[in-house]
Amino acid sequence: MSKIGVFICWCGSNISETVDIEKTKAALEGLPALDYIEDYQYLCSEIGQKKIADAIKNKNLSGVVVASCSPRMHEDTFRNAAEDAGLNPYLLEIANIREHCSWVHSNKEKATEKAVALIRAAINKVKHNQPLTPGSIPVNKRALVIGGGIAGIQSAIDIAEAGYQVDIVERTPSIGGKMAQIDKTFPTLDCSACILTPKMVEASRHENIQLHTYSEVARVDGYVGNFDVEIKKKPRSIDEDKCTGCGICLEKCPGKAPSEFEEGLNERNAIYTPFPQAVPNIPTIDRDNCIKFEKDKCGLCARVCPTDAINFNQEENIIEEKYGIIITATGYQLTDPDQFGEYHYNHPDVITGMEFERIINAAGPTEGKLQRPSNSEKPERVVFVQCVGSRDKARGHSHCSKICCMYTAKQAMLIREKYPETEVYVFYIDIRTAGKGFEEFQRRAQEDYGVNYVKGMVGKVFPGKDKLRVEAIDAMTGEFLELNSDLVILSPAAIPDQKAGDVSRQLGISQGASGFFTEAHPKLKPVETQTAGIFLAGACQGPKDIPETVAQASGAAAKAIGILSKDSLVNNPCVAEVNQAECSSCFSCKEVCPYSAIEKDEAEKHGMVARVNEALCQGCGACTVTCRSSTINLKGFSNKEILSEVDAICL
Amino acid sequence: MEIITNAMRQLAREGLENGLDIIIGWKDGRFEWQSKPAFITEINDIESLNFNNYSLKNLSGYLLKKELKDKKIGIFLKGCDYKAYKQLVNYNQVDPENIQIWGIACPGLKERDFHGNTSNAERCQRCQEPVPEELETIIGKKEVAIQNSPEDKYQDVKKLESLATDERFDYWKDQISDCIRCYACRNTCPLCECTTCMIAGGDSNSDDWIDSAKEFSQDFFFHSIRAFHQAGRCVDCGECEEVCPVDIPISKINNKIRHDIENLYEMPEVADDDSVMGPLLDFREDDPEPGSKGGKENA
Repeated sequence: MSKIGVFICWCGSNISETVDIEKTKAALEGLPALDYIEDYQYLCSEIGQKKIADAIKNKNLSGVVVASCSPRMHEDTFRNAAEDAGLNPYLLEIANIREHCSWVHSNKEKATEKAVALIRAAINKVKHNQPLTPGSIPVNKRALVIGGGIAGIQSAIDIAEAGYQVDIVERTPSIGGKMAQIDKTFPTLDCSACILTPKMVEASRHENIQLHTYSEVARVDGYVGNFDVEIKKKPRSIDEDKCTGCGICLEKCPGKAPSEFEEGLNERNAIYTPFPQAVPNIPTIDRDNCIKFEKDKCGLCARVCPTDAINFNQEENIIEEKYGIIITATGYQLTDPDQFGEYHYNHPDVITGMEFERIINAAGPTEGKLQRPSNSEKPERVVFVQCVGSRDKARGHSHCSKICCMYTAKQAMLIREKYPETEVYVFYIDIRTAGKGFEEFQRRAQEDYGVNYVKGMVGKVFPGKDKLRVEAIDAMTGEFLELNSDLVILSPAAIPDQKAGDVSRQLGISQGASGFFTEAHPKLKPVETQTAGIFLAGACQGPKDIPETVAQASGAAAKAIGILSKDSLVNNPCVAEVNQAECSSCFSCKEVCPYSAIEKDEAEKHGMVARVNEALCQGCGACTVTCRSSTINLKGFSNKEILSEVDAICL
Repeated sequence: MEIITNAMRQLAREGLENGLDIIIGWKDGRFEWQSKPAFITEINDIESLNFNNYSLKNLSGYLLKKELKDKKIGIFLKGCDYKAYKQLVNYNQVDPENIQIWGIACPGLKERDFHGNTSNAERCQRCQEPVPEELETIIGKKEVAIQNSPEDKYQDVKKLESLATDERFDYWKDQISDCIRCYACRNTCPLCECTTCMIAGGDSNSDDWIDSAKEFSQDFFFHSIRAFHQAGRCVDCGECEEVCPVDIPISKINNKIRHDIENLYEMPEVADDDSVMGPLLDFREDDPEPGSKGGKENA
């Protein structure tokens, strides 16, 4: 005979303000299924948990309903309490009367009614619950980091230092990411390359780190502890073992293409290393722009190579590897300013902040000299335009790109430092400099370096004969401003990497409204995703500056190490189960299972029937709804349990 | 018809002589407007095989019979029957190794109503593939006139779709309220292959999805769940509607879903090779989002 106890939590006033606890109790007390009912202000507190445990022991309860917050929040808490009291933890159900009830309703009467319905449904369900026992799954002690920017590098080094093997998969020919392109970093004005290069070298030399550059993740299967991953190594057309990185091939190559690293400001050869500090320092042949591949002529590089390392016949290579965890560090990109026609980005003297980084960099296309791209003259006046596509719900992105205020202050300072006679204007909506030492840094640009900050958006940039005419309104005075400028520098919105959508589908993690990956909980699980074993590092989660990125990357690494250090993980016992006697072997379930957890099993009675591999099953339930004869059930969420919940609400 | 009948007898004879255990075809019923399935195991019985104007019965469903398991079978399949057969193969219900199929170029058949009036069978008027062209052996004249264009086959559905929501609901309520839950539609459907039926209402040991109360909501559940279970597989052979003792237009329900699938997913209504499981089990990145206005008609 089942004995069910109900515990209603007030959650302080979170629940009790909108749900009438007394009325709820009164409405439930008559239920024949109910044997014990109690309410308390904070059930998740130590005293609250003890109340549940005591009742289980003293009243000999066989099932418990806790009416409280989302099970995401405290299901584990209450299940642990039940287990301590000797009850199987899966005989406890949560009725979510906070997120599903008090937080979304204002009418107390109706909210109370709904709370009663939700609790009744949970009582009906728990009557049919079966005790479940979790199994255990082994852990592959190897980590995969997707993306070789500063976030990926930092995570990989941290994990490698803890003694585990790490693979970094980077799409471009070199690790380093966006940080490698940046000239100086705020607020310390360190040389970006100087602090990044040692990290890149450390990653490439570390005995526990494997670099897969010019590679992409092609397929991801499996689950925490046991990810099966296919890495596609694109053909570099260079034998990596033979190449010494001497660079002779680079000099002779006649093929040309815009340099990605230099933001298209100058050209690179068809055989190229993206930048001098590239890691690995091995060239790559860009087959789309190589004369050998286009017309089957040339082949100069192969002729001059002293070690015979050029291999035009190299083919795509697929590496298969098993990982325990995956860290995504796919970073960000800048939105294309072309969609904001008023700024005339198609004019050579209208550039982005990243292009400026290359122009001001001593190793860049102008060797660090500030020049107008149109005529190579030194600009007399420079205008910065903030929030190009950021904080712009209508045409761009609603989010704040967070880094632009600071890098613009830095860039303005660099200009005034090198060329004090240049006039610099910054047009902004707000200045947002929340970070250690950031406000002081921005003030310095304004007060010590004499950068003119104007609150107001630039309405339009008119390309004139020589100068660019910038029209704006000073929002403080209401004055209409017209400036002739030589150089306009835009701060385009930071948006997720172009391949973020593919990665999210491959990994089964979600993207928020702006396309950045969503963390499992913004406060309590900021580096985790909703998929166990997959973590987030850096700007793929949202715009971040370097210090924040590095901090998060180390956070993700710490979480990853937590999993890798275990020999086995506890399995979720809520997995699917096939009643083989009734299976009609259509294998529709096999077709829809995203985890390949359904296998064909030779049954004695009739041919092949479906079987669930419990180690692979993630309990998503897709098979249970596909099965026409309802032969598959999800443990803990069986048809019977769910139907009785529905009955409690509808009948 | 005579040509088909003669060829059937010839092939059946050869089949039995070459080691087939059983031949499934048609024979005449008691009245001239009837035809019923024939199961021939003896050469002596071959002369009873007969294909007539009323040989509508889709024979592929018999392949599911337990009695035929591990038997070597020869079977005659019309265009629609063959489509059903392919679904059975896709869903692992029959082993093609054991089955010899002879295709019949179906000339379009007739049906007779309760009052004795004969007319061209409704299902044949919607049919677009009367000839199972993929098969090696096809008997009958291959050039069969198709009675309706692909667009026209959804006339009924489009008429219904043009009605307002409550008018449509009233129409279906009217039709479905007649249901006596005899389950004949389910029992005759060649693709109802589950060993136990979740909507059996009492005779299965599965959960009580539907109770046996004679109530519109329960009847409605039965028909809508059945329609969804056949969605993406139903070959419009018309068996269900044919056997319904209370004349519920079941084909129309299936056609509505078929029309939606074709329109939404731009996919053939049923998968035609065993590498694809059909539109509702397949996921493509450009699938329309549920609820959004997708599909070619809304594009």
